[in-house]
Amino acid sequence: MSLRLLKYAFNRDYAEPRWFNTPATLKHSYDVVIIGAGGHGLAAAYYLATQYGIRNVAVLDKGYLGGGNTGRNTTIVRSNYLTPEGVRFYDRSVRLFESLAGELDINLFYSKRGHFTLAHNESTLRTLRWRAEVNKHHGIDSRLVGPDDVKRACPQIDLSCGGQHAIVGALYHAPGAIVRHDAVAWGYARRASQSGVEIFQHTAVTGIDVTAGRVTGVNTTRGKIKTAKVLSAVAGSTPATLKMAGLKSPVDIVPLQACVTEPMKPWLEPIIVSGSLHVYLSQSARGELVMGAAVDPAELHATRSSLEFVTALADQMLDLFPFLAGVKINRQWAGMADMTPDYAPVMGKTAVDGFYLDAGWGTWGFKATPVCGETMAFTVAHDTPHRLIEAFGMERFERLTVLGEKSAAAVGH
Amino acid sequence: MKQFACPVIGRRPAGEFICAGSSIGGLLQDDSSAARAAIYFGDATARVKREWWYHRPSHLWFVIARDTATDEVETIELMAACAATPDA
Repeated sequence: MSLRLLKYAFNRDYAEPRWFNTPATLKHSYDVVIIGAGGHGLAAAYYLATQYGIRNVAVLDKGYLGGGNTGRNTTIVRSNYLTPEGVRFYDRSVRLFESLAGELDINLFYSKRGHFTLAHNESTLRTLRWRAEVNKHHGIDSRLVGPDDVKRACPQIDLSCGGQHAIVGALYHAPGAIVRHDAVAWGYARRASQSGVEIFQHTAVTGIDVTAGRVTGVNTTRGKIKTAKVLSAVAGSTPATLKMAGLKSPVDIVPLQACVTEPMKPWLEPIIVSGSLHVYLSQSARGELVMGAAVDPAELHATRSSLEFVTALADQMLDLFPFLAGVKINRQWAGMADMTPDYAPVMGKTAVDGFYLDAGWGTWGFKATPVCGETMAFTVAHDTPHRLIEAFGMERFERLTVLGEKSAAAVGH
Repeated sequence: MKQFACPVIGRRPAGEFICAGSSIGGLLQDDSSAARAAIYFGDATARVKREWWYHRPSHLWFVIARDTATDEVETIELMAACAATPDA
């Protein structure tokens, strides 16, 4: 037991300050209202307060802090995307993540593991080579490696995958890491709160007032607020907030499931992803294997889990690691993912003045938390999209200039 | 295991079907960029939706009305037999 803990045990007044305080009531008006107290919304609040001096900010959430996709993802951070726009964006995020624990003064358990995306056939290998070259061009440590390199980094793997789909190579991405996801949300919440941001949990937004094409206020379950700027950071519920602002949605909601095994001794250093088998895994600091697969087969606005998911995942996972046959699944869960047609996010300004969007985060949102906060804070403060997110605007679907990230964003977290 | 009670082919496992997204009624007749762009945008909130589903073993296409909040199926019709009504 640590001395610090003992000190608290004998202290009559609990000396540790709360991480954030919630005022008893909402103010009459705020400069900015952020919908969604997940990592993205809280990061945006933090950067608005600390980089732009915009402190009269309310962050509202219908549930609890970090209880949506921030607490449901599989915590992987990487930047080995396919399009130059995606690579530049996620690279900035990885760099912010690497110094975030110091900046927020919280242990994020940031653990750099290396990330292998396996190829089981020639066509996948070709896409991985393409990704490696785009990555290298932008100074990112990604390279194509052979089956022997995979075996060296992970001796337990069955390279033949039960003789069904032998591993022919992999994309190796050295900066690939896992992070404690709750800590990211809590770290941003504490720092934002210390800078004057007000965080309200269990406060649902029921309507957005738009007058003559401009945002004028927000209706909530705790009353009305006047504001000229609203940021929606509610991946999983984006279509509903878009509808409140009178906008149509390019985003569909599809469940994404994940599961963990019982804890075991550390044996898996890298993060292993197989796009062809539609599965991926890493081992957490607790020893559990954190495993995921592709999204569910159809739209559904619910966080239910299914037996089909876990049996299909186990079937494929045992091809990669036959020795896991006796290991038990401990928990499984689901999040609602904002799927976009091109597997890239939807960010920036919208057709309604003062209504900003940080959405379309499908299965790739956690790793972008810091950079989304930073770029959305810029966008809201200057009313102009940050250069890193110019390509992610909703208008790209009207212009038919989509950003094909499917091969890099699907499954491979 | 989730199943679809189909009036044409009986009760079948949902895994035999592939969802092809919201029904737009029929083939897109208007080839303009505006018409194509419009396909990207819709009402994606939770509600009863008409969707195209393909049944792999029988090679049949169906239009299924399904509640996207509860996953409950309301109606299943053969695509060829139903009127070309797009999802609202």
